[in-house]
Amino acid sequence: MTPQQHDELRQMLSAYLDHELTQASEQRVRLHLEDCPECRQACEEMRRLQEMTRSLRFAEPPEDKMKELERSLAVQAPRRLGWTFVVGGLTAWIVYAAVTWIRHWRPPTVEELIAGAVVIGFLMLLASVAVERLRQLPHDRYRRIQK
Amino acid sequence: MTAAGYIPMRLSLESEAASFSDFFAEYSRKAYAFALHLTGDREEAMDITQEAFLRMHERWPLRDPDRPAPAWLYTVVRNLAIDHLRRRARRAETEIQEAVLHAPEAGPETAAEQGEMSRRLWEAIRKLPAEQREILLLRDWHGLNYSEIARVLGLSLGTVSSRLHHAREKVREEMRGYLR
Repeated sequence: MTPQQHDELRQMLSAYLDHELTQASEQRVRLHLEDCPECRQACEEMRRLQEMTRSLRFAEPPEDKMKELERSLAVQAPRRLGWTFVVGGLTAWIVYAAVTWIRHWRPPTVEELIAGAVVIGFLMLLASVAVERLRQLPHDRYRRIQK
Repeated sequence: MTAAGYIPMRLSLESEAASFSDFFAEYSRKAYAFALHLTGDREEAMDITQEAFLRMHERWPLRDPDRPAPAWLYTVVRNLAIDHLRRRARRAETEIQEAVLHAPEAGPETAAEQGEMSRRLWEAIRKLPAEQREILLLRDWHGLNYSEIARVLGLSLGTVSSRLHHAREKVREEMRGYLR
């Protein structure tokens, strides 16, 4: 075996340990390990280090904060979504008023503004129901049942 | 927290039927640990974990079922951690690389309780260049496979494999006296 071939196989040791090689490459490394005590030792030491790394302990997140986070997730996301619809609705309403002004060369009347607010509010409501339905879909245990 | 009960995070684990709360229960602590590995600051790690799950929760219904949620989570946590480190570097007027390199110091505060070997091991891991340390921890502590790591870090499989190998060789060299 040439030094280049040896180096090439040595480079594959890590992936061999992780079972990330093709079957053919894995077989090549396995055969090489039978003949090369240096690589065999390197492989064994890497395996031990991997186990040691796996068992390292790190600071736990504060339990109360994690519970708080779990609870807030249920509350905050819809709240954010609500704000998105409010801002979106107001923007649409302002755009509608501006377009009306430009088209008729006069400010929109109170009736037009109210009508616009009602239509846009209704559309936002429909959109929020649709988004909420999409949000619930993965958790809907009956969605796979055929009617 | 340990990686005991280490389970490779594959697509099969993240079945479509699993609810978000199941996902949260399984990965919230791992997300926190990853944020801690990257920032080295408990408060920042908690903020990042919170923001990551909030973002995922918002997009959960619209997610691609073929996209593994753990890899998605790790990507979100990593991006948020980078933003935090950039802000911190700007505040401290230091380079981002410096901030990253110093970050994990506060990681395993309990390492001292785990004996000399673990302490030495963590020192050796800390000495690695940031891009190698990240891959080593994602593989050996968090349990991601190569394709998941490649996805999270935006690297090719070959680069992941090569960096991981070099990282392990360096750590082995540092730990030589403890392994024989």
